[in-house]
Amino acid sequence: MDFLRATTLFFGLLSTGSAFSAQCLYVSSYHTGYEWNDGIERGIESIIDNRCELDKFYLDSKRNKDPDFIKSMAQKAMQHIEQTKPDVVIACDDNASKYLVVPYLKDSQTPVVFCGINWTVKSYGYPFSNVTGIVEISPIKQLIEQVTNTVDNPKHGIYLAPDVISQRKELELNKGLYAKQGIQVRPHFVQNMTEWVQAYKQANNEADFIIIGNNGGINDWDANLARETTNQFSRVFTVTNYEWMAPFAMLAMTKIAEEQGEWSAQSAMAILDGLAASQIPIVVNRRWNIYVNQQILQKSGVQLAPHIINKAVKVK
Amino acid sequence: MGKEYSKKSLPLSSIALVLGIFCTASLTTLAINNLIKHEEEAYANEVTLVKDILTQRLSAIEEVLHSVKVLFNASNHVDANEFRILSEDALNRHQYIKSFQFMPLVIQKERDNFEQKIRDEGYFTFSITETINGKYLASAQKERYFPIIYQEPFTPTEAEKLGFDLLSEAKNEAYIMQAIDSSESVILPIKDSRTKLTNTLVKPLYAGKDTPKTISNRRHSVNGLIALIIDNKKILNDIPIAENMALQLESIPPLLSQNKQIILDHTHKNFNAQKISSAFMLNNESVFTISSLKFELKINKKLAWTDTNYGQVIAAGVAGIVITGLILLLARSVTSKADDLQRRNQEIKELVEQRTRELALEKDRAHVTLASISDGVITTNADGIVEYLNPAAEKITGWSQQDAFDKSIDEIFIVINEKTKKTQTNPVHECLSSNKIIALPDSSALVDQKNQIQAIEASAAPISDENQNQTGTVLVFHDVSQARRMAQQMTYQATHDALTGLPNRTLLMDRLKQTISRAPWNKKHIAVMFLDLDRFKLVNDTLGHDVGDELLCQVADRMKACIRDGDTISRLGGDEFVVVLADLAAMEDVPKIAQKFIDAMASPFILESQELFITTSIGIGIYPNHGNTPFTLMKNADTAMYQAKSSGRNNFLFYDADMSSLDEKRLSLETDLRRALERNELELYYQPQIDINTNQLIGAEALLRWNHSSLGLVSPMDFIPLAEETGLIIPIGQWVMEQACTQAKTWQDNGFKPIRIAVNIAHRQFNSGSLELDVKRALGKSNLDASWLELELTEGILAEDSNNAIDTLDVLEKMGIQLSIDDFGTGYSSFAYLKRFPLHALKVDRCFVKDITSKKDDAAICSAIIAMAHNLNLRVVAEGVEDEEQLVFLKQNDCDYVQGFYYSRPLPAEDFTKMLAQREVTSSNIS
Repeated sequence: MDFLRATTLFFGLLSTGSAFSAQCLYVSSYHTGYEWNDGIERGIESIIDNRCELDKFYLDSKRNKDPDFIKSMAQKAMQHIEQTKPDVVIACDDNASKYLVVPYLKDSQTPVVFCGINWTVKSYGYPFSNVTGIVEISPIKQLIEQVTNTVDNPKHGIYLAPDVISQRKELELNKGLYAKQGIQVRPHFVQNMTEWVQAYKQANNEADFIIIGNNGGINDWDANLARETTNQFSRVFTVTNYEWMAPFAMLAMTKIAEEQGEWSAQSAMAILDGLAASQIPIVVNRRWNIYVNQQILQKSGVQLAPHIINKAVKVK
Repeated sequence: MGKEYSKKSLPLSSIALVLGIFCTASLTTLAINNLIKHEEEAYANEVTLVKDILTQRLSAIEEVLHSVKVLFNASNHVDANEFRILSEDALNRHQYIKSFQFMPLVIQKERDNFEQKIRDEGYFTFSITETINGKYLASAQKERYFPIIYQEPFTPTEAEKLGFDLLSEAKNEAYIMQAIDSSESVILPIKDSRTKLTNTLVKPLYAGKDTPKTISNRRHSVNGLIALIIDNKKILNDIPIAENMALQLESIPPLLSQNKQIILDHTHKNFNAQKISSAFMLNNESVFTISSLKFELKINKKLAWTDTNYGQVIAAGVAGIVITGLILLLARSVTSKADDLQRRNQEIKELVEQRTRELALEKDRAHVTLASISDGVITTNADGIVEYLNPAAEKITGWSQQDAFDKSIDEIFIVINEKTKKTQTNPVHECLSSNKIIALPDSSALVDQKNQIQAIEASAAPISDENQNQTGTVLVFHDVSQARRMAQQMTYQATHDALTGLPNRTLLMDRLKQTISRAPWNKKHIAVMFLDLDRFKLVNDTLGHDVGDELLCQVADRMKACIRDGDTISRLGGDEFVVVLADLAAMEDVPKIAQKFIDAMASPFILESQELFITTSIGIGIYPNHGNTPFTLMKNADTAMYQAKSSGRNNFLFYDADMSSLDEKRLSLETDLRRALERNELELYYQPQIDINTNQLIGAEALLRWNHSSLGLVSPMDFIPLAEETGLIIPIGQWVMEQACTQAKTWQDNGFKPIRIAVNIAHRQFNSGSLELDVKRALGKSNLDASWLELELTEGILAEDSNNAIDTLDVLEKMGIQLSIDDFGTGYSSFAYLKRFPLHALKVDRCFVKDITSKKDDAAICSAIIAMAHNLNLRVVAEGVEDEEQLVFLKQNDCDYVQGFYYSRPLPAEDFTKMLAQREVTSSNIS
């Protein structure tokens, strides 16, 4: 009997063919090459470090926004999960939660760590018994402080961004926080690069300041044209919470993608070590970077407080 | 012969045997005593080394906790990111610190709001928790909580601690109260789940910059705790604890009723394996204090038989036996026995030397340890002569061991007060004279060999021999320049204005308090001057904040040149400055100095190549005449400044008790005005406007009245400026517009012929940015057509920012609103803007109409205004028409409309309705 058991175990080990004792699945809402996503992935990989075999699945929903397409990709991801039975799933950004975790993995036996979800997760019904994670909040309050310090009696701001779900959530968050300071923020959503350039010029004539949103979702994004436009037409103070948009804004205060990845991977490792997902509370990011673009600042004549310039990384 | 020999040799042998046994026993005892003495010396050295290292590490821990407290005191709000940066630095420097925590004080009635606030920040599942069966669950309701909100390092395994209430552990409460009452650190009795040892130090935080002096104040103003968790294992890293040693460190609680807490309990696994019966035990217990924390260190060492070199003892025994033999053989060969004894003695000497070498090796080990620690260590003899410097000490002092050796400590370790630069007593001398541990005061600094000054913390402890005679001192110190610089910088930022570098309100109040406390002794006067720049806002609005800031800096520089060294100038914010003139010998100097400030502003300021003129208004309060507390003096000086501004600006006024009364009346009026809308105390009166040619009532001007519940009817002259100043004019203006539109529409709905309703627009209301929306809202609510609404604007509104005014007026005009200039002729009376703006009418001010029939000038002005207005296609309304002569004149000069008591005083809506009805009846009768 013992011999039979030992033989079975031996062949079982051979058949796994893997050097890892655990398997982790990273499900990204987007695609490789999308900068924020890549940062999160770097953060995850720096922590995993051979503790488990890291499998990756991309829903590619930034380039293909059709809900039917995303649903079909989520189904494929679920099939993959059923086949490979990962010990823990890391679900990155909104669509992974919306299309995969909520419909298929809610209260299941598979532990899930989400990350990269902007501001609130209430719309997904979190927390679930098997789900924990980290919420992304841009350092908007810190940025508002700089807007009120820099712009004389700011009343109206324009939020310039592509028309995607994450940017609409970001707009709502911005509106609420700016309103507390008596500042009205209204959106200008665009579909492509031509609209973005036009909207930027217009906003400079209509608003006291401009909040530059993400560019993910503007499929024909042209960095050179954006740089040319911001250098030539900036009259009012421009700010952003996105690191890669720092070259086009006077001041950027940005969350750090790696922090999202590091926390979710640390949580995954804790789960592999025996901690239940429900024992890890949902948290928010706590670190940020500051960038200033002196070229645009000089051309526009907008003046930032010296201590911010000293603290910040100078963008060219 | 043989028998005789036997008889003689037997007692001789017996004597020799007794002598031999005695000698053997004596030598063996001597050797054992010697052995024990050496073991005890080695043990004492080991104990001292362990104790010194632990003392240094615990001191570092207390210092780190203190630094965190300083950060909290120096900052208004420490956010999670700042807490993380500070903690990371300390955690990297001290491996034996496991984590940091911050816990604010939350009281029961604020609990829901507090939890919601944290949830709103993104911690969706956050609540204040306690542990039940090892699980974190929402805690029961209590009077107050200290929940963890910052935890560093912050990892998923630690995240569950967020919200954990330190007070939920009942055992903690008495200790936390002790910390709050004493303002010192305490070690909590809760145990680490892994090591089962206590390891949590907490320190209280209080509101305000300084620690309150009394227990009741401390209890009242405590607002949080900071905690530091010691890593019980890492704190022992690199401390040489042999396999046969056991160490236990306990904290002695401040109250006798509390139990000692075991912090460290280190026993090597082989320690208990050795058999007690085959060993003897060395014990040492000592008590030491770090700041307010008291510790007891117990170190035991077991010596097994196999641990000790018994060669000496065996040699002594052998020597005894040999001596016995020698005595026995004494008779035969005294000389040869003596030689033999000498040889044996030599062997004993060599054994002793070997043991001495072993002890020297142990000393070397201690040196290696000293060389590896980051704190500087200097030892001296009982005369304060330097014997040893470790490498850290060499680095900090700049002196090498070789150069410093045999020099006086006063030459190597020069201590000064960092602020005064005065030399301080060397702690080594104090330690030598008192035989106690002496710590340097907080602001101490070291002057190193290159005369560089470094901020340090140091303590000198006595070194004693086994008889407790002091044989020297050990001086332990480290560089705290960075930490102190940080603390100083934070203190400076907390007490100075960032723009001008002048003292801020905090420092000003502190200095004023000090000055007042000195005043009764030196019988001098104090003057507090409250300065406010006149029309500074205009500079900011027109030239921008950068120019405004530069102007404030230049003003500050000029003011500084006007005062003496002991006086204080402070900027409270905006364009408000306060000057404290201390120790005034003569009161006559005060107006001179005030005039000096006014004169200093007289010459133009050059800003961005432009000349700018600015004046200042000054209010003065004198101690003790106008108050004997900083608050009262400041308040009264402020009141006087306000009066100085009201009476024409660019002057100064001393405080007068009547001013406060005026101030209070104004404040009371302001409060009542805020409630007037809610209490329906505001009412609109309407004064008719008549077509001078047809005598038809074509419009009405809505005029605001306030029926105060206790004061009766309050004059618009009294409350409209107040409403403008406080911003209440915006909601009141909105109410007026809605009320007037609704009334006009009601008259129309009741069948009266439509008339135009004129509403006055205040300066602040026009610039609020919401005028267009307000108008739309009023028209929307009342359903009144825009053409029946007329907005009356003063010349001042249009003159101030003509570009913006054009934009706003264009929008209103496109909506169909009628626009008129009110009180024309009293202000700028610029024809240029009459041409530029989309206006429909102008109203000639009553002051011209009043003397129209008696003064030629007024008659000429009126005629000219009417003619000019008609040329510009504007209607003309004459205000204040009171008699027929005036009416005739105006008619002759083609004035279009008139308004005044001649027709009707302003009427309440009800009376105006009656008048409308009466006019319509009259009109139909005529027709």
